[in-house]
Amino acid sequence: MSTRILIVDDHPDIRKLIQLTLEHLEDAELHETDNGGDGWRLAQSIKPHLILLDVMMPGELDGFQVCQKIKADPALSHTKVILLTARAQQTDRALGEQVQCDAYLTKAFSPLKLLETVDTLLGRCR
Amino acid sequence: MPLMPASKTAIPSPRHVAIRKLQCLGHWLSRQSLRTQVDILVITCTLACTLLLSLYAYQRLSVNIQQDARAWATSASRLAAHLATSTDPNRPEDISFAALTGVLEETASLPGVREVRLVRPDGWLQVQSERRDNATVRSLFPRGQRVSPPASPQINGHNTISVYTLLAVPDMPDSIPTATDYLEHGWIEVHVSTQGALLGAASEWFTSWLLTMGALTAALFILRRCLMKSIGPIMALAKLSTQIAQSPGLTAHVPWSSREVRRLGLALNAASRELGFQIGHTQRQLSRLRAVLDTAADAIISVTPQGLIDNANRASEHIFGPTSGALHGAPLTLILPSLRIQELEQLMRNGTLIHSTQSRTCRIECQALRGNGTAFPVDVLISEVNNDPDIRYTCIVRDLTDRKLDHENLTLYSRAVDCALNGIVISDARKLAHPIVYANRAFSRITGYAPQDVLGQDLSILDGAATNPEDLALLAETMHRGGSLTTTLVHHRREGAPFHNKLSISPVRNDAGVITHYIHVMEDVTGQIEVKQRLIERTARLNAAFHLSPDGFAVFDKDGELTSTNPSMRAMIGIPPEQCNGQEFDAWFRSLCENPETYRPVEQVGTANLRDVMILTHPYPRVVQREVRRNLAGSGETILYFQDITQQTELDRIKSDFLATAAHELRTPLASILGFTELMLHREYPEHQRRDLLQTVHRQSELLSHLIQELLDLSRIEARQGKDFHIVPTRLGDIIDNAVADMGHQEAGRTIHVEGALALQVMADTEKIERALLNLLSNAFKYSPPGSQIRLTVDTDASEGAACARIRISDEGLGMTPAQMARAFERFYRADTSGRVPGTGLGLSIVKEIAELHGGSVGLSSKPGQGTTATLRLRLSPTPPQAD
Repeated sequence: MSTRILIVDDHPDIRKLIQLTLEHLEDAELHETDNGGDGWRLAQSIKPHLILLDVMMPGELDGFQVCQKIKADPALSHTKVILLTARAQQTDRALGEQVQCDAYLTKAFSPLKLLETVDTLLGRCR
Repeated sequence: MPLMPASKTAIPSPRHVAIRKLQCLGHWLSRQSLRTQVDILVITCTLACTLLLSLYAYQRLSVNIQQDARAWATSASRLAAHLATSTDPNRPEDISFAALTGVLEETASLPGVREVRLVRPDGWLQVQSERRDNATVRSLFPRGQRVSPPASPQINGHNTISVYTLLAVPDMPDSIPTATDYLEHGWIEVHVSTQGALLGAASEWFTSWLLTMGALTAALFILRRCLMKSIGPIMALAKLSTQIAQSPGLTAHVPWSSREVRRLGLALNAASRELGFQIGHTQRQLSRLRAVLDTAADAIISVTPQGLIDNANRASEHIFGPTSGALHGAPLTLILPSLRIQELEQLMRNGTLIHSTQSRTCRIECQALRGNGTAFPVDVLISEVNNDPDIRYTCIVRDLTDRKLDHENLTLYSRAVDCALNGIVISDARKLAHPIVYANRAFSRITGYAPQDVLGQDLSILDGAATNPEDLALLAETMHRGGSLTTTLVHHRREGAPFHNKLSISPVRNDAGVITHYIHVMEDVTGQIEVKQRLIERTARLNAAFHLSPDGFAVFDKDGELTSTNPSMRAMIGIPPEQCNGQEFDAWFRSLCENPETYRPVEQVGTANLRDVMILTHPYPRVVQREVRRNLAGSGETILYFQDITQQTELDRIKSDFLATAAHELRTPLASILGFTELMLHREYPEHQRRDLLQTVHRQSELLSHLIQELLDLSRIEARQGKDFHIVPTRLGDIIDNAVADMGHQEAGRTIHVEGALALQVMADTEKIERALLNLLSNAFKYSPPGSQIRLTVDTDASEGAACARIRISDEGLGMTPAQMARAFERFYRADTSGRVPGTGLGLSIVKEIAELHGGSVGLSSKPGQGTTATLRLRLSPTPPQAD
């Protein structure tokens, strides 16, 4: 069974970075989109094991709201959410905790660190 | 031990004794009253007289009786003898003898005869008739007794006269018979007892003596009465004289009996009356003096030479209070402790001499003691008393407590008036001109006139040019009718400077209600008036500020009622309900809020002067900051202060958004750079992929560099606010040429068509305007397809106020929607966020900053799909343009 991972970020470069970082994961199925609304719809449809969410995205939903929705949805209870953000204020972290994200990474992040985090979260899942 | 000398007492001779006794009697008598003396005299006289008289009478009587008795006896005996002679003794039976015996019996029965005897010769007692118990007893002695012959014819015995008569008649009748004779012849014995006669005579005499006594006594009593009549007055006068001492003025009204008595009586009466009068007079004077002493308010004390109080008047008790024991006899130091007798004498030596009485007086003030031990001040006037052995000094003591208190009070009042801050002047209302009789120090301080300068003058000295005649007229009218007035008018000081004088005048009346003086109280209120003036100005200013203030104010009074709002508040928030209190205001305000639950009512805001930020949605969205101030200066007012911080809030929001966005924008390229380089370091990638990744890294690094540069530029421009701009008159064409040349370097193949008044002189910082133009041109290039035309036109324009230089850059590219145009100048705003169009989103922001700091402006106009025109306006320089 493959691990479905969803990447939601409005910057193509970041998406590319994450993709490159995670491409060597076993049985990893990578999906990506560039806005929160599509991200939420995709999440509902493919039910990924892990979602990497950029917080600041234009559109109807930002990362926090998508995370909130995912955590509120019982169908996506097994989905882990990693929030990626350029905002590193205390308020932002608090907001992240409030929406019950599983991990909070600030840009610029180390890809290796990202890999570690993903492994940990998925390892638990596995 | 000396011997007591034996007193040689001569044995008084009886003569001496008698003389002594008489002297004693005389003394005794002289001490007796007249009446007694008279009585004694009368009685003695009576007794003596009667005694003498009676003795004499008795003497005479007894002599007479004796003579009578003798004569009787003689006669009787002779008779008997005669008879006897004729009888024979030896023949007793003879009738003649019977007759003889009968005669003898008869003779014996004669009064006084005790015994008749017939003695015959040889002494033969023949017949004896004796009287025994009123009965005659005849005794016959036939054989007789013999009796001895008498010695003489007459024998006077004790109370008895015996007469012996011879029976024979002698031849010689004158011859005295001898015993022989008797014996020869016989005799007749008649014994006559005078005792009975004497007794009878005595009793007769006694009776007559009594009668005489009585008569004499009566006579003497009458005499006594008469004497008493003479003496009586004297006795009365003597009684009067003793009574005069007790009851002077008593007079005796007795009938004058003699000239001396009359004189004495009159004199005595007169003397008594005089005495009574004098004593009465003296007593009246005494009681008058007493009354004066007792009603005197001062204590009048007489002091003995030993320093003891002899007499103290009633006031002394009041002044000194209950003392231990009465004052009489107490030492003076009990009440005046400092006045011992030595001090008194010392004081008197130094005292004033009064020539008329030749006595000294002096006056001192000292402390006196009351009975309960409290001390108080007194004034003592001491004077000597020279003609009285018992009194040496008289002290008049006056209690000075009240006087001292009054004096202190008066001093206090006077000083208080003098020290008062208000000027006080007293004028004499009885004189027409109301002259000043007193002015206190504050008056001098206020007006500059010394008190002595104004005495006698009237208050018009304070009038001057600035004084209002109406005020003066009012004052004069008030004083004329005797009223009071408080008014503020302008007076002048001594040196002429005017000042505002708050003057209160009021009349002073005496007990009869007549106005005698006027008191003028003045206060320099110049300062106050100035303050008031300033206050009025200030209030007007504040009112203006209140009304003109762009911030809103709402004022609630101490009862919580809304009293006023200023126009700004009404414009900012709205018009609150009419006459609302705090709660109604809160309710109304709450209805305007976006989030009513978060609204804090005014009451809940304590005195900590907190600021509340409230977001209002009605009547239109704005953010308002409220500050509550309570109990300003104790007035109980509450002021709500509203500040429209919508713009500020917006700005803050923009700033924080900017920071967030800036952070985000900076981090994003960094994330790529860090991520890709890390991946490349840790993994093997084929060459083409590596190259691709490196290109991305390079690109992102460039972007980051631009971003940082522009951010810094923008920040610097903002921070310095154009202070480091070097704005000088510059030829516009030069700047444009530079900008176009730079653009040419960057965007090869694209041309910019430049036209217009390039020779215009503008006020510009060359570098910054170049920058602005570059940004605008860059945008034109970025948002228009390659090959489309970009035009730069320069001209002047006066459509927005003063004439300025106008540079228009137009492209034929994507154009912008109105929404995009509205946000175009926002920081980091990117019309295209897909990443296809490079850009930081800061370009236009920088242009706007630069333009505005030059005093110009930048604007956009566009038709979507057709192209955009950016218009930059700059100030023209005042210097004439150089010839191109």
